[in-house]
Amino acid sequence: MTKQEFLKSLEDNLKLNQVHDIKEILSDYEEHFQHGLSKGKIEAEIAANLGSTRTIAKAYQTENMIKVVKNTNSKFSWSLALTVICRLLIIAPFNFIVLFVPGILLFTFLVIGWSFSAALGSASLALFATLPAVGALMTSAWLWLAGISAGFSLLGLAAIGGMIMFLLSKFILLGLISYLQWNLKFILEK
Amino acid sequence: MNPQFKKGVLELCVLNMIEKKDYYGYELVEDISKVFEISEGTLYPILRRLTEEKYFETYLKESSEGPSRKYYRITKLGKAFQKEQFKQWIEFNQQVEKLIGKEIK
Repeated sequence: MTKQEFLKSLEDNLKLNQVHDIKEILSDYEEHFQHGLSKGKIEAEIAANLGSTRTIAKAYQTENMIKVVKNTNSKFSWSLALTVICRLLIIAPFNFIVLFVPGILLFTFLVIGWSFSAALGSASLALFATLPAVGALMTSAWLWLAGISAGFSLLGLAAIGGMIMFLLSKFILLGLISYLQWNLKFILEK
Repeated sequence: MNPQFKKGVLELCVLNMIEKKDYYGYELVEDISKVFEISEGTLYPILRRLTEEKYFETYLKESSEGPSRKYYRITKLGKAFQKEQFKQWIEFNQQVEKLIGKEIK
């Protein structure tokens, strides 16, 4: 392969893998060729040592992913976390098998937790909604007060439950990400 | 080399080498490929990511005897990262040594 053929093929593969800054990347390889040539190597030899352009383009895509995964630690974003997990599961279906059973357990746990706090919340709202009707029937002020305080405590429980669930979900998601991140090192370049 | 080993180790080598002195791409690739059998082209993606992560910075230097060189220099952030990675590598090695060290000797 000549230098021009190599660079063209690399460019095509980079585009195919949706890598950014293609121009800058190509100039790195251009420089590499120039240094090789100035040391008396021929283009075909340099290109052969560089390896397959497909592998190189994939490596850029992968490095980009590593960067994205690492950044989720500093600034947590749900959508990004989910995207990364989905993408990692696609490049490493092996993870899916390993994570399947514990994943289902954790997921069930999260769903139960969230629905429990949601149920508490809606119960308190329902209580508040029925209060005027109850108040019209019974004129006892104590009953009113009891109803209101019960409603508030349910609401409080729901809020606490929601907060705990939020932290737990975040914790579990971050754990999953760091596991996948660790895994990423082993599955690449295949 | 086994690609599973290669991935983690190459990054560590690149970090440690550039921590010692500034390298330009071709020189680094040349030194590493003297030791490891690798596709030389896959080192540039690593260099690029480490630079994007602000562990390295680059500068151009004209050379009288050849093409201009894009040098990589480690940053403060990069040094901290290198130190941490290197520490983890030493610890990992010691653990491996404990388990299978006897068989090597």
